[in-house]
Amino acid sequence: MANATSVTTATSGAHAPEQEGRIRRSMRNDKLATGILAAIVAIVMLIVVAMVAYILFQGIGMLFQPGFLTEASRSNGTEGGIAYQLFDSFYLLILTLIISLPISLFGAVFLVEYAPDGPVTKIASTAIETLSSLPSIVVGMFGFLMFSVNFGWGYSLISGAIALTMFNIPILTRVITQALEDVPSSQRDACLAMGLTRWETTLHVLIPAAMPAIVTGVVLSAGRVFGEAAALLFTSGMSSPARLNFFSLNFASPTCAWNIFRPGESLAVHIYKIYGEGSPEAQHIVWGTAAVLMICVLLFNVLSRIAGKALARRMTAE
Amino acid sequence: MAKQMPKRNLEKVGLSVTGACVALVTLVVVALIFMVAQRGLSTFFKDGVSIAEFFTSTRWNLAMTNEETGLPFTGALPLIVTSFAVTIFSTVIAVPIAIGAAIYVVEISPKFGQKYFQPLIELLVGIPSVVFGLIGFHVIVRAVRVIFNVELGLGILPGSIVLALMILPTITTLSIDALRAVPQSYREGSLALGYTRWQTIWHVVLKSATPSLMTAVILGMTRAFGETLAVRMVIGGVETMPTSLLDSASTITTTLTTSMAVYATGSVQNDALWTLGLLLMGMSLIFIMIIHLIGAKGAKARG
Amino acid sequence: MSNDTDQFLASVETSERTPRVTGRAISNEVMLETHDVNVYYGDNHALNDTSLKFHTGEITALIGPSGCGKSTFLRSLNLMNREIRGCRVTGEIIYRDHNINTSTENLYELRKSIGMVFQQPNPFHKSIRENITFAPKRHGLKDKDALDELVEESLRGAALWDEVKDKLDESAFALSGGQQQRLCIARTLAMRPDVILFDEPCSALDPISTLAIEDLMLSIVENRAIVIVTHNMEQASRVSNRTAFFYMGDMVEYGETDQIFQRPNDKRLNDYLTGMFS
Repeated sequence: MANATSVTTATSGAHAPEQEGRIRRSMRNDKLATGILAAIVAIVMLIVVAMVAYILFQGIGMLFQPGFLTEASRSNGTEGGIAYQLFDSFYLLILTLIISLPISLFGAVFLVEYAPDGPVTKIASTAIETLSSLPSIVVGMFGFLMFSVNFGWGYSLISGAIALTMFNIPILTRVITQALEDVPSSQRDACLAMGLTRWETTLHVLIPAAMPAIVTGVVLSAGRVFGEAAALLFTSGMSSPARLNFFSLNFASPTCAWNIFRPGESLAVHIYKIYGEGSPEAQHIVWGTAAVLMICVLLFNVLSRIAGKALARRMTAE
Repeated sequence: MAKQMPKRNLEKVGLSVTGACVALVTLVVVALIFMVAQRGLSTFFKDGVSIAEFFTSTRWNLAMTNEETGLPFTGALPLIVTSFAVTIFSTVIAVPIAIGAAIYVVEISPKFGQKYFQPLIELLVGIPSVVFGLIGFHVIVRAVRVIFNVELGLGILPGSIVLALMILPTITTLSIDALRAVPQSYREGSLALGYTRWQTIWHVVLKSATPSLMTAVILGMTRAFGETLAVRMVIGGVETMPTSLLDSASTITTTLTTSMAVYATGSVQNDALWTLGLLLMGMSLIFIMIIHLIGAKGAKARG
Repeated sequence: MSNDTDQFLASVETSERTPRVTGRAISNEVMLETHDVNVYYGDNHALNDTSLKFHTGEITALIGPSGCGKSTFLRSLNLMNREIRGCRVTGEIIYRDHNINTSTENLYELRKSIGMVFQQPNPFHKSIRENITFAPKRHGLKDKDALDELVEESLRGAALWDEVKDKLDESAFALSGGQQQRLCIARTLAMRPDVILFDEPCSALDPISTLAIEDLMLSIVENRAIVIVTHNMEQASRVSNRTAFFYMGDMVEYGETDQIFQRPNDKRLNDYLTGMFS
């Protein structure tokens, strides 16, 4: 950027005194404004760093407490560990991605490749936009009524995963649509000109070319899903079974860890459930859980960057 | 040549598979809107709660029965006022900071912005809302208690501060995009005329980015209005008309969190809660419409 | 300009680089022809009643200023305009004795016979081998030996075999721009097309690569019709047998290339050739 200050000083000699005063004043304002803005940025960055540091500082001790990460919680979460919450969080995330990823991917393909001009497409994209702006509590209420009550699934992981899916689909669709649109159209033209269908073009050329951006977006969105709680309160519930059997393959059993119709509790919901408990033990658990949640979110954040970059490098260099 | 599906059918498969996904999402959204509206409106049309009373009465107590009407107290005005209060206050706090920071990283120090500031801000987006709530509960509420010498420290003020932190990254990121989209030639033209950098930013860059900045602010407000748990953890949860920023209060969303699981589906109380859900949904639709109006106006202004 | 062109054409015709005859018609056999083709983008009438014939064994150049409709016309010939939303093509395009501009035409089969090479070299993010085999595989050719044969044949056809035969499994993006464009031509040759459409194939290339592509076009034109859109007048006169001049959506003049460049009838063509506008 050109240096405005030097421009004004270089020409100021030729100006009348009052004009010179005005110039000096505007230069002073310029410096003042820059200073204020720099201070704002510094404060914002300080707050972010302080927040993360505070949580880690408060909770990191618990991570080294034997059993915290490997034991089930007791006394409604105020004692014991968070093993099941940790498992449920990842399990919910995986279920959510299994449902939301294909829907978002194909939805984005439709919007980019097939969508005809006209009311149908417009309604569809408005619907997705609406979904993205809905408060997650409303999505949770809908999930509760639709899946837990009407379908009779009660508090269950699958209800929670579907609620999270509704929360995740607009995010993913936007990311994937953008990624597909960023693939040069000459790639599409080349395929079509060789007599291939749009479907083949998309599956074999466009999606592979957009993969780095898609992966980055999916992992970032996974971080968001992982920390979501409001949509889960009434869908997957606020407690895990007291005992989970990870080796059970009886998927209908209420104690089978993999049973998608059992209730489950994510880390974020766990924090919400016991944050107000007064006992020191419960407070330690809350902060420990928050630290685990933060570390996971940080990992997703870092992972998304690394994975996207690695994929992009492999694609251009192979 | 191996046998394979004719290309024309393959294309039909593609169209159907992708179209079905979009149709499914659309269907779910339509079902959601329909269901929320149906349940929310039955408060008035089935249970006989007066619309006027719902929006003007200041008494909300689902556990007690109003002797005159035989219905629970469903005056939602305190909740509505509190929701708007936290939304507006948090926006007022967040907007100057967000736009200021955006100006700094776009106009003054782009390299620093891209390398350090934006990753950090993206991290803030990713912090779960319960974590914001937890910090609010332990740090901000405590600070409010000490500074204002109040007993609890819960209320609209800490709620607004927590929300401000949460919508800060949303507004900042979108503002950064908005400022980046201003053509470089505008700045060069202004600087060439001898304006200082600040004058250029104020009179040229901000002015031409105004519609996009407004969109950024509205999206921030949408998030603030619908945010639930972080607010719930610092606002106290008392469903009365707020008289001070430092008294316990309750927003639409926080009332939903605490009461939703209590009342059986189909009860008057439950229907009243759905009416609150309908209000939330209506507000977010209004926010979307505003954004579209701004977009359309901006497009018109550009020609 | 006209004298220069004369001399240049003479040098081209005698040079060893181009064994084939250019500048005048050499064939009567029509491979592809259009009758009254009109193209509309929404309400915009982009191309007006264009009727042309493309002959087997000949290269036809389409020239004219930017936005004159020549690329639009080219993209109609393999029905690529159908991929653009709001684009409509009317009129007849006759290939193998029937009109292909119908809703029932199998455009996937058609595009195997009428190939296209684009302005920017656009290889896929795949290996050199896969760039060639990708489309044939999707069209049902699975036999590995046949595919290997096809790779060699196509790369030899595109004069690229010797340069890449040892690195067939490396990324196509490791190639130079000119090599990438020849790979794109090889990819098209692998479909064994009757017609190849070139849409300003050299505009992103350096002069040496440009000459290589021109040589290549001359070497593959046998038993085929080639249509090339170009902004480069020298290129048109070097490689083509016939030339059509487009101006503001009209096909203004069509004839043997020598005649078009040396004795233009239309004033607009004359102005264009003498550099009055471009």
